[in-house]
Amino acid sequence: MFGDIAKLRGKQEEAARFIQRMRRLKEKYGTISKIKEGHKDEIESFVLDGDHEAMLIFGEKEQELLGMAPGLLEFLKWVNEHGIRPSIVSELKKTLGPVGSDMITLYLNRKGIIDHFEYFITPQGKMKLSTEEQDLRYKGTSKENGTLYDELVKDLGEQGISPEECLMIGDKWSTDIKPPKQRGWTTIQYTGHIDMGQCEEADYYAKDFYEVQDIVAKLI
Amino acid sequence: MNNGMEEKKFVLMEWADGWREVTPVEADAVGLRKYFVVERVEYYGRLVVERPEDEVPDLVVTDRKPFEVKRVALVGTGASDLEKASLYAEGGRVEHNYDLVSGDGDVGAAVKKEFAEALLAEGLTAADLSGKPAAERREIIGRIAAGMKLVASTKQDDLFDFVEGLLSE
Repeated sequence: MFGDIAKLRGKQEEAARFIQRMRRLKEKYGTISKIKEGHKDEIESFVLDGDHEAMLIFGEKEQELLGMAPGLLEFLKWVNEHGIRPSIVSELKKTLGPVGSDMITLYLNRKGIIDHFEYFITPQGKMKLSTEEQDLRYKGTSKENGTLYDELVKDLGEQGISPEECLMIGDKWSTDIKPPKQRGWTTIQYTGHIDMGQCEEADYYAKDFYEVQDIVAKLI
Repeated sequence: MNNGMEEKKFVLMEWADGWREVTPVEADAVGLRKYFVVERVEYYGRLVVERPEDEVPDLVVTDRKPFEVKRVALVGTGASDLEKASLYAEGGRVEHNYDLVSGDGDVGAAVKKEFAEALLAEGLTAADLSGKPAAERREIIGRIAAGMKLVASTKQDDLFDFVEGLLSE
């Protein structure tokens, strides 16, 4: 990706330096997804030498390169047909704007799967994806320290849904598996992209969404 | 045709997504022979170097037998032995993570001692070496260091700076 960006900006000789800086930034924050979720400004300022045009190209290339997990589309259709409306829980750091203004809802829109989801829940607030209506009770919470899940448990409780009826599917132990499990949720560790090894707290493991569907079929 | 291109020849490659790249080739090029794709797994070692808090860490990359690196050191702060610890996969990329286990010894002092002994074997002291002209000094340092299997990863100047720094301590 950085090779393409450098070429499009006429900075072919800088490609190796951009790549090296991105690797260093990854070591500062641990994972590429952590950079993208909360420190994207540093890709422009540190990696790309403050070149805003290059950053715009980065955004476009990033979306081009993002694929869809095997079986995801089939799973989304199937789960919706069974009357279950999944929501997305993300550690988004950027202020919640209209649909398409962050990389996650932009991705959902581009892939044509946004209608399969009910809410986009983040530390910036909860948004109903069909109406863009925002609920700011979640503001300032965090997936990692569990406060976002505390708010979610309360929110769902008001709708008559208990933690035992909730299922979280995610790949990171610290944000997707351990905190919801501690609150009584069922958890599926998805290992199809990021595989950190099996987390003991996970109830199930799946390497694609065909396996996720098989697990959910047994649970409902 | 006098369009300024008589002495330069270019290859134009075009991709399925519309991307096109221009690459200069030899001026006497007369045609294309073949195109092929090499598939090969390559391994790189990455040593992350801590900097003050909030600074982006430095990164040292090696492509020389990365699974066989046994010890690393920030000279002056002690050495660490490497022990295989865990695997982490993200997409098609797999990271083989190692623990840095405190090793013994001051690698800087050890290299200094080893170099001084090799120098003495040639009848020279560190003071003798520093009194020689720069070009001769560089020749001696390069030769002795190579005999010790001590080399610079990317620039020979780094080796001279490292050895001369140690000898001046």
